[in-house]
Amino acid sequence: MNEELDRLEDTARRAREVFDASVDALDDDTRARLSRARFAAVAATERRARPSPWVRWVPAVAVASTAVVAVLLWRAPDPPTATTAATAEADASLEAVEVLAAGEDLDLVENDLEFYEWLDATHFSDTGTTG
Amino acid sequence: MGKRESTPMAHFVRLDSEGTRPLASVAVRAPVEASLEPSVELNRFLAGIERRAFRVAEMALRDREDALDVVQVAMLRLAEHYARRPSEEWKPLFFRILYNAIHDSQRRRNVRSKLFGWWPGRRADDDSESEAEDPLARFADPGPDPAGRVMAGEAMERLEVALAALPARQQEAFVLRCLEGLDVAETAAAMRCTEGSVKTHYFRALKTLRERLGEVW
Repeated sequence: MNEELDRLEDTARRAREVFDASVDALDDDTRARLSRARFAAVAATERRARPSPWVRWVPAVAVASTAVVAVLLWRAPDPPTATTAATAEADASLEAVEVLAAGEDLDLVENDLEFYEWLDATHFSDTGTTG
Repeated sequence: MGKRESTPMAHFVRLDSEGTRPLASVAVRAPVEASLEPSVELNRFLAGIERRAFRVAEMALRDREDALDVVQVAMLRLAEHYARRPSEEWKPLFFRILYNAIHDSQRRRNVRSKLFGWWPGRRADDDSESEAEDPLARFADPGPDPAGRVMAGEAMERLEVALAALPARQQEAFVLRCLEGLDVAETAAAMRCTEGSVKTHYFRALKTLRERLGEVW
């Protein structure tokens, strides 16, 4: 049994010797091509380790974007809301009540053509004059 | 009075164009971490393993160009995905990647063979330049002991033929355990199997190779 194990060990040792000799005997062209492949691999490592040139602009772009958004939000007019529309409608009703409550002679107003003409001229014309 | 900590020396070595032979060495006082930059460590690791990896790939693929391709792929993948991992993990990781690339190359070759095998006057692996090459021609100038080199080349050729006849997992276990010197745990990590499987594959491979090569070696 020991003899068989010794034979196996001899085979392994001989295989190592033969293999090492074949590695040592590699031709120059193969060695040079392997070296070039290695340089390319190492260069790839260095490229990955080095941050992209665009990375340095990321903080500046972020600050600028934030500033632009802040200015836009600050300058933008408030959009009309349901609350302001309801307030305008309530104001109009109050004006009507105020006119009715004033107790003025409405017949005079209704029959006065000049009034309508004035109203037309001041409130519905393009000139917008108040007369 | 507090004890002053001494800063260790770091040695920077300038290598030749192949990146293997040192041309000059400069020692500077610097933190050790500076000399352990991943790319430097990785370059050293790959320089020590690239030729052996090439021979492993060439034995598996029996084609020089394909072997160079898969070694290049393995180096790039290790660099891109695992350069930040502890360097002691690199060897099993590298060989796992290498064997994955070898298997991919073998699959592509099989597909090419099925697609173009029927094509008249063309064989699927015609694009390999080394097909008609003398198997011993890839060995460099025999040098001062040409007879010994030729015998070593013949012995390697026999080993390659015997290895190629083994099941794939036995080939891997033999190459990693015997030729690359990985321990059982590292081989299991590289092969993605249990340590028990590694032992079984390796023993069977060794026994078969002994039976086939014992008489001629």
